[in-house]
Amino acid sequence: MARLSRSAVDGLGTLVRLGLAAVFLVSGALKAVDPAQTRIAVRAYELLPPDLVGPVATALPLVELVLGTLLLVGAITRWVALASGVLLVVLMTAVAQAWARGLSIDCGCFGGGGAVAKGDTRYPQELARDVGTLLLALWLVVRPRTVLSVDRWLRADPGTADPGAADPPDAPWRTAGNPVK
Amino acid sequence: MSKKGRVVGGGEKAEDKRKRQGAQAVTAARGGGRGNRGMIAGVAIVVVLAVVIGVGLWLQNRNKPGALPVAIPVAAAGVQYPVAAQGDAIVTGSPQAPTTIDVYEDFMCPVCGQFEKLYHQRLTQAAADGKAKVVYHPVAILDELSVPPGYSTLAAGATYCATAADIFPRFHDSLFAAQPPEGGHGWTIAQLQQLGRSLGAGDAFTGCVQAGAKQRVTTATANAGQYIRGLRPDHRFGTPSVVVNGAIIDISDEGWLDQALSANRR
Repeated sequence: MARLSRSAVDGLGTLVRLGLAAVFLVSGALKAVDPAQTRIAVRAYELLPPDLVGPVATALPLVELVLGTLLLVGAITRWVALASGVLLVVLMTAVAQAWARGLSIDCGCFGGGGAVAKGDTRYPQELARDVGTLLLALWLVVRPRTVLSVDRWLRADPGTADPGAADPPDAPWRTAGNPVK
Repeated sequence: MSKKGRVVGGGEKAEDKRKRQGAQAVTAARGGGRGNRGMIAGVAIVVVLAVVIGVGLWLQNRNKPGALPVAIPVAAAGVQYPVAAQGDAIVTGSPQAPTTIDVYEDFMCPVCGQFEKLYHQRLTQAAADGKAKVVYHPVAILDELSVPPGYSTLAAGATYCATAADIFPRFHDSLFAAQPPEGGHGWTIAQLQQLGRSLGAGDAFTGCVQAGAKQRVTTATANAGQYIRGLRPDHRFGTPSVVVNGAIIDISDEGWLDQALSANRR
């Protein structure tokens, strides 16, 4: 019974992981295909010195694509989820400060971005969406176990060190195993 | 890689661990290679990430040369107002207008682009109505921001040519409406020439843009800088700078234009 429900939760976690992967892959790709727009979007936050706008606009889509890819394959899931959460908090902070300062910008979260007319800002919706995404990331930080993942494949590695175990108790098994080979 | 793998499994229950360790011991005893999967996964992930980053960079750079359209989009014609060259400035509106608004702009400056978006229509209307003499001072302080560097100077110089060719308003408007992004490619000489031709300028304009006006722009920028520094309490020169009837204006106060235009009614 407990086993069954746990695998069900694993399945749910897998959906969470793939959902978060999709968010980052889509947002990263949309930013990467339109670098000029991304630069405008980054600049519109009026947070960075001009010299940093370009590098950040270049790096952000790449970071998103990398996180999305690692989530897609389920590698080092907990740490990638943690990094995703940190990134999301940073982005939400940027949006919130723009809102607080009364800037009229589109967040450029999924491409687009830059200045918009006073009445056309969508800060509450943008932040709500980010909160939802953050919850996905938090799930995976708390419970990174999913199926169809590199992590699981590694855990099932017949000869590898136990991923969760401290080294010392593990060592005898390994030394015992190796000479045979 | 095995280090990363170890970290991931941290959330597991001790009971499962023991079971798995047992299983591992069996397979290990049978001669299963230790950490093979970790190695494979590590290499595979590095390769995949390299490909992802490569594709991402390619996507970003793919459009660089053509990030701007081939031709500069021509801005729509606005209201009509008189235009005259005066030294290194372009005077629009009636010289007898009660208010003089001096605008110092760099064609590469994003804030100038925003300034134009916000106030262009009302400035030209004021010039057309004879309410204000709006004097444009093209300067070049952001040559470093374009690829290749020097677009600010090139555009400012071309503005002189456009004024001589009697196409200043739409030439100026087009360049701000289609302002190159910071750190992006500036419009080229050929594109500026093409814009002029689209607006009806002839060979004199084309030759003028080709020749450039580096010295003139440099001098004009230096003079403008000296003038503005003298007006500002902090002695700094940036663009856009706006001077109304000889006094520097804080354009972050959005009512500045209303005040400038209403002052002369009193």
